[in-house]
Amino acid sequence: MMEAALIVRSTRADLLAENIANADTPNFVQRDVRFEAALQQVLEQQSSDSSVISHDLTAENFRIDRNDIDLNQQLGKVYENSLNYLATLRLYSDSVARLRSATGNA
Amino acid sequence: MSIQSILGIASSALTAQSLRISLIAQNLANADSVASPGGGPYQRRMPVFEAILLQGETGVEGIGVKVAAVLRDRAPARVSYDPSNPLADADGNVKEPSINPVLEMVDLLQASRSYEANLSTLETARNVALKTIELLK
Repeated sequence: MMEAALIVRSTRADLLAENIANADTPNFVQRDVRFEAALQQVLEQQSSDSSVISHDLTAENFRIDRNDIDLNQQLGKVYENSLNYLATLRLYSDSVARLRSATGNA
Repeated sequence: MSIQSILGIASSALTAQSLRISLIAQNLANADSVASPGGGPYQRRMPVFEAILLQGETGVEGIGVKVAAVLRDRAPARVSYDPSNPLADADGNVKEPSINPVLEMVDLLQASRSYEANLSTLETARNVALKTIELLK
């Protein structure tokens, strides 16, 4: 479960980076993932290939160049995603550490 | 977080925004240039941004951005009456570039803001990668 969450977070980080890089590109629509749905997709497909996650195309507040990316919003998402990624990673490494000490490998 | 793909994505944007800033600098420097290598007054340059697929060793690594073309502004040149100018035509008119420094400065602010946002993406990815290495010790 935690590996799946890490895969989703990692894919989301790539998508957000793409959004920020294309903040000035005409006709570019921002993309993101819905976490619950994406997590379910990764668990069902049981694959570590991140291409199984479908990307949402949310279209709102278009500017004149048909681009709807707001840098402030994207940066907020990047920080939120990074924090969640690190929290999940911490839980993951703690559980691995517990396994290690339980099997006698400190 | 695949720092490799984020590196490619963000640095493509840094390159594109830098080119945009240098075109703005060129426009501002030539705001009064009544002559240019191709003849006629200087024409404002405008970059066209395009999303591109970034190819890495493992196939497509993400979507970056590049300046697909640099267009010349087709707005009509400003005409001013100055018969003493050696470049004046038969009616005494001189064609000048129609560059608005205020617009260029606003564009410059937006370009540098985009540049900083992409720089911050890079730094966040790098910090997360470093933290990951630390946590997995």
